[in-house]
Order: sequence, then C-alpha cells, then structure tokens
Amino acid sequence: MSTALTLAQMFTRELEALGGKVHEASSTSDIVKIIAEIAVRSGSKRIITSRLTVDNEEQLLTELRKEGFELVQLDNLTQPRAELASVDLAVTCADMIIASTGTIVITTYQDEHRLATCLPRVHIAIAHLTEIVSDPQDANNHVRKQLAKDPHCAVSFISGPSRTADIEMKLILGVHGPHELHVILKR
Amino acid sequence: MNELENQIASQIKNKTQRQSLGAAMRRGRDGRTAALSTLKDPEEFRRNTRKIKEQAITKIDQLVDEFSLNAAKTGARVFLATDGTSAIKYIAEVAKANNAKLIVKSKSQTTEEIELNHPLEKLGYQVVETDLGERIIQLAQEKPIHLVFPASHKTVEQVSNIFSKESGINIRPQYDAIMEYVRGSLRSSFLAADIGVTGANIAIAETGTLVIETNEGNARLVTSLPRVHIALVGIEKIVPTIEDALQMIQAHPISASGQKLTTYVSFISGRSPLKGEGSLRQLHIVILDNGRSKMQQDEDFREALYCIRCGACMNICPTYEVAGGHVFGYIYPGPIGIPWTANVHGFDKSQYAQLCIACGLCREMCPADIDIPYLIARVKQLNKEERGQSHVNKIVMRSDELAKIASAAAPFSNWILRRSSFRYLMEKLTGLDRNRQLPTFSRNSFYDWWKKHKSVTTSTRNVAYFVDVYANYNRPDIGVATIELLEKAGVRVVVPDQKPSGMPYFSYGELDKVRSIAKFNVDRMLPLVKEGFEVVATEPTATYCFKEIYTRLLNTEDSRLVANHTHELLDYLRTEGLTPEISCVYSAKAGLHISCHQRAMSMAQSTINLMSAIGLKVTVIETGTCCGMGGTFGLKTGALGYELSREVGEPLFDLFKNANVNFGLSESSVCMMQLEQGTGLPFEHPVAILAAAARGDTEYPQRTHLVTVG
Repeated sequence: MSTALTLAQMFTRELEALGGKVHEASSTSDIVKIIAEIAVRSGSKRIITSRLTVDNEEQLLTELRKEGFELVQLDNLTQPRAELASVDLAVTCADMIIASTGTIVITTYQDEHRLATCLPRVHIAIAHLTEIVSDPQDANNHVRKQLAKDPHCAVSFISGPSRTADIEMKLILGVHGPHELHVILKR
Repeated sequence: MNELENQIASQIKNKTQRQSLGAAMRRGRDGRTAALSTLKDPEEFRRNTRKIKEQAITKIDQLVDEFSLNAAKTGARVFLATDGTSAIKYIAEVAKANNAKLIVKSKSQTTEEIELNHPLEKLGYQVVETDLGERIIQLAQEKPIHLVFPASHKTVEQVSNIFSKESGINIRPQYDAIMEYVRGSLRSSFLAADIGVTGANIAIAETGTLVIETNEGNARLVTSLPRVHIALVGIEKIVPTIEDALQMIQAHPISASGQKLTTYVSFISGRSPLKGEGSLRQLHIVILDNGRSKMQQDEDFREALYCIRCGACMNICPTYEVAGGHVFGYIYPGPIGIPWTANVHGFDKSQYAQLCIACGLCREMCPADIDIPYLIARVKQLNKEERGQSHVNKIVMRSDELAKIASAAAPFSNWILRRSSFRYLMEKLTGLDRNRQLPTFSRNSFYDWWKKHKSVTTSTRNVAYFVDVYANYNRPDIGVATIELLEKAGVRVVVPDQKPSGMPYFSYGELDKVRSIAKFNVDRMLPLVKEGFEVVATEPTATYCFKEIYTRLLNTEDSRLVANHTHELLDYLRTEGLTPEISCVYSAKAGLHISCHQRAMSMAQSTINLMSAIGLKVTVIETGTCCGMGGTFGLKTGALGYELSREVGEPLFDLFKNANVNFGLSESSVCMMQLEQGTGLPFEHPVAILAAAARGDTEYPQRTHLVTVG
C-alpha cells in the first residue's frame, strides 16, 4: 500500500508538472462533485461518458443529469464526428496509469471512444489506484494483452493536455486535443 | 564563389534567424540534459537504445516480413515501396479509389523525404498539414528548418501574417489569437477529410502495430476521423517487440525536447471501426525502402539507420546554427542529414557536408551513439572522389608541413606574416584568409630542445609523449613543460617517432591518408604500450585521434590497446597522483574553454582541478557548442572558412569579454588561436602555467601568441 501511495504521489507530481490536474475520490458522489465543479468552471454543458468502470455508473449519470448537464450517450451516436465535435467535456476511464511519466493509458476498440478523448476541450479520466505502474517499460504486458484482445485496437498513452511550442518556442496548452486534462484517482 | 558559399555569406548576415534557431537549439539541449538527469542510468539507457536499433537493422528483411504479416492480420493493406515514386503512385491510387478530395497529414519526415504533397496537389487533392509548425511551413512554401522544430525561425508577427493571408482576415500577432484561428480552421479540415496520412515513429513487428507520437494531438485526429488512414513507414522504423517500442517512445522525446514521454503516444493496430462506417474504413501501410536496404548493406552507412530522428545532433551543431536547415540540409537537415541525404537523395545533394567542421559534438549528443562525424567524413570522401579536393583544402591539410617551414624560417616568417601585403598575396595563392591571425613560429622547435635534453633513463613509470604540431613548432615551451612535469614526478619520458595526428585529413574526407597516419602512429606506440608505457598528449585533438578516430579507421585490437593507454597529460598526472609540488600560487581569474574533442573525453575535470590548486579562480565559459574554428576550417578564406568560423564564435567571444577574467585557458591550439583573436584576451595552455607554478615562477606566463597583421 505504501508503494502505491508513493506511486500515486509521483504520478500527481509528474502530471501536474505537465499542466494536468489530479483529484482524489473515494465515492461516486465525490466523483460527481469533482466532475460538476470542472464542468461549471469550464463552462461545459454537453458531457459525454465512455464506459465508466465505476461501481455504480447509473447513479453517477443520474446525479450528473440532476446537476443540469446534458449527457450524450456514446452508444447512441448516429453521426459520431459532428456529435462528438459539439461535446464540451468527456469523462472516460483509464485502464492503467504510469507514475514516473504522469501518463494515463486508455485502450479503445472503436474510434468513437478514442475520439471522445480527442475532440472535447476538457477530458476527465477516472483511474483506479490498483492499476498503477512505475515506468513505461512496466506497461509492456498490459499493452500486449490489450493489443491481443482485438485486431482493431488503439492504446493511447496520454501525458497532459495537448500542447505545442511551434511559435517562438512558447509553450501553449490546448491545440487539437483537450485543453484540460483531469485525472480522478479512485481509491 | 560557389552556391553554398553565397548562401552562407547571406546567412552570416541573417542574425534574426540565427537568434531564433539558436534559442530553439538551446532549449532542445537544455531539456535533454535535464531529462537525462532524471534517468537512473543515462549511459545504460543510451546503450539500450543503440542495441535495439543495431539488432533491428541487422535483421531488417526479416522484420519487414514479420511486420507485414502481422499488420495484414489486423486487416491493414501493406504495400512495399522500393522508392518514393512507387510510394506516391500507390498513395495516389488509394486516394483515387476512395474519391478523396481532402487529405489531412500529421507531421512526417518520411513523407517530406519523398516529397509527397506536391504530386498529390498536382492531381487535384487538397493536402493540409495539421502540425502547427508544419502548417506554417506549408503555407510559407518553405521546407522545415529543423527536424523537430520546423518553424522555429518564424516570429509571431510572421506567423500571424501567414495565417492572415490564408484566411483573408486580420489575425493579431498574438499567440492566443493565432491559436484560436488555427484550431478552428484545422478542426474543419479534420472533420471533412477523406484521408489521413501519417508517418510512424515506430512499427512493432510482433503485433503489426504502428506507434505515432505527437504533442498537439493532431495525429490522433488524423488517424481516427478520416475514413482512410495511410501510414508511410521507413523500413528502419520497425523494432521486434513491444518492449523495444517502450524504450523508443522514451528515447525520442528525451533527446528531442526533454520530455519524458511525448504527450500522446498512440499504439495503433488495424483500423478501429467508427459507428456507421463498418467495413468502409481502411488502413494502408506503405513500407518505404528508398535506398535504405543499400545503406543497410554498406558496413559504414548502416549506422545511419540507427537514427531515431530526435534532432539532438542539430541542436549542438555549431555551423548549423548559423546556416539553418535550409542551407545545412537538403530535406534531411543537420549532421545526421548528411549521410541520409547522400544515400536517399544522392551524393550531389550532399554538398553541404562541407559545412561540417568535424568538432564531433553531434556524436556526443546522439542517443544511439552514432559515429556521425565518421559517416560525414565518408560522405566527404565520396564527394572528393567524384569532384576532387579543393585547392585550399589541399593546402590546409598540410599545415604541419607549412608549420615546419615557417619554424625553420623564423623569425623571418613571423616578420613577413605581419605584412598585410604578404597576407594578401598568401590568401590569393593558398586560400588562407588574410584576416586570420596566425601563431608565432619558434625558430627552435621542441625536437631541437629534446635532442639536447638529458632524460631520466630509468623509472617504474614510463610515458611516451605525442607532441603534434603546435607544441613542436609554435610553442616548444609547452613540450618542455610537459617533460619537466613528468620528470619531476619521476617518470621516464620518451618521444617516439611519430606523425602529426592527421585530423585535418579527417576533416576533409581523406580517410586513406588518415588511415596510413593512424597505422604509423599506432605501430610506433604499440611496442611501448606493450612494455608498460602510457601515451600522453598536450593537444586534446591528438588524444581524441588515438581514442576515437584511429580505432574507428583501423578497427584492430592493437589500435584499441593503444587508445586505452592514451591520455591527456593533465588527466594522467592527476589520476596517477603525480601532481607536482607547487612552489607558488597565482591569484588571477581565468576563463576556461573546453575544446570539443576534450569534451568527448574528460570534460577537463583534471584541468579545472589542477588550475584551481595553483590558486587560479577558474570559470568554465561555454555557449554549449563549439568555438567555431574547427581545426583548419577557420584558416580558410571567405564564407566557407574564416567568416563562418568567426560568426559561430561571436557569442563565445562576448561571454569571454564580459566574464571579467584576466586571461583565457585552453588546451587546444586552434581554440586558443580563435579565442585570442576573437576576445583580445591573452590565452594560455594550462600545462605551461602548471609547470611555471611547479618551477616557482613568481608570475604566470601571460603573453599573446598571435602575429598581428599590419
């Protein structure tokens, strides 16, 4: 447990150095509260969720609706490109996190799930502290297992918000991908 | 003047570009240093990176087959393109078959290599680069100036003008305004695109997976939104396993920008479905050879395929900083670009190899430890065989012989070198720049002194001194100081038969000549080393030749044995505990310049230690790159010599001038020439000062050693 805590601290330090933000939650209502706060602050109205591996996904969605947000169901999209492009905030789950690089790992087998982590301005990923490794090398078995599940697969390593320094080497956060990356660490 | 010389002459005046490119390079260097320091064992990390590339390139054919087979299993259509033309043809056919109109691209140097955009545009397709830097370059109709920072020479004003022109609206020259426009305009392109074209940073053979790294997130959109994804992958990008790929995704950003990982790393297997499109979605993987197999079969150029495209070598290249990637490059810029250009675009396109001054810093930076200076020397050699060696190069390569004559004719030679009319005539006849101040020649050489010197004849410690040119003909006192210091410590010194190091021949690609010099010197030192002698030199470049260049060219156990027993003098004295008794201390401030070749060996730790021990307050003064003289390069007249070398050196001259030091220190003879002239400060060799302190001279030697003209 103490190792896990240290890794979580390392993860937090690294991701926040890259401009990401780490939150901690121990219950569904914690998660709802965090999401709602971020959504309000960022002026997000349309929220999409993508296969949340939390104990009570339905309760979470209901509570978010109660907060007044418009929830878009990934599995009900008819024109995924346009619909996803109009979403303000996405909530997804990371299947693993890497502490020393501040990285979340998200595997998708359908591109609307991947696009949910690409197109909205704000991305919130829920991660479980049981799935934490120290270094990128330690993700080898996980990547191999995920790639083997389905021939069509994308494993995305995400370390911070989208960034560029292409004009005068000035660091700018938020280019084509999300401007904000939040990770909720679930104990 | 030839074309390259004209281009350099104009780049020397282009101070704005140098400043912005220099800032980008510095950022790359500093970031890399910081990131490396967070690794548990940076050297092991470097060895691992090299090992992965070495092993992959050795079995490249097998990996191409394995990758193709496994990629096909994921549903990807794999096409093996022997050259750029066949790759372009295939991609155009895919575009046609899919009735495409708009093609979006994420940054790919390999598509630049085959110049993919232009033929696609000619066929009527709209091609949009989506990496911000690449988009700026595309709209400006230029080529990237840097492998990793393609638009680093553009100011925010220039960028806003470029996008204002594209959009027809006035975009303010502010980052936020530009970004808001770029996001919006490119988002429309992403959503409307029929085809996404990418490269791949890595391809994994065991799973047939592509790995693509971007910071902006554009590659994720390019590979997910369009119905068709085409990836162009050089065969050298394939690694065997996922574990190898995990090493490479760290090696890339650490060396390129100092990030631990690129913001987005996508492992893409096959084409993931998108709701409503089912089987319409396609992935085409074009595996490109384009000269790579031939490189793989060449025992020298094979090493260039270990390149991981991080751009670190161009972040430290002194002449690249002034020349920029448009001049110091064809499509592949910078040091590693030279062997790549020569092999994939042809030797006629690699004339910019002349801009390499053989400082060797690129090799120190390379995350795969590629012997880039040697590969460049090979390109120079092949160019020379095709076109012949220039007159001035032939002259400067024999500078040791000229020094011998000038020494024999001293002091007359020093007198006449002061005459501007003589220097003018000499420039016309030889190509040695009249403005380059030359060192004073000594009538009495070190060898003259040595012949009369009564040596210590027996000792348990034995050293062979490698004198080289400067300590013989210009500064015999350095040679004498060496003997004094060693003999005072009870060491027996011999000066075996030897030839000057041959570095100038290496600089101009005369590798056969260097090889014969290497053989001569190694053959002379070998029996001594086998008897227990250590070889020492006072010229860092000479030690570097034994350690790096002779071993590479001879590739024998004997050359490696001699190299392992060759040392910089001060390093030898300190590590063997032979530091002299100091009879007096000097309280003065000295600025130390560590020569590039010395950096590769010791970082001058012993020099700093010993100079501090005699009371000097030593500050290392560095710009992070070379002083610009590049051995004999700075002797040559014009933009491809003296003028470029001065321009490279200016920032270092300024640092010295503002450092408030009494004098400068350097162990390299050519660095001293360059810096003494550039800074106006006296420069001294640390060995001469250490010997003075050991001797009890109340004043440290502080002379100028150059002949001033006029």
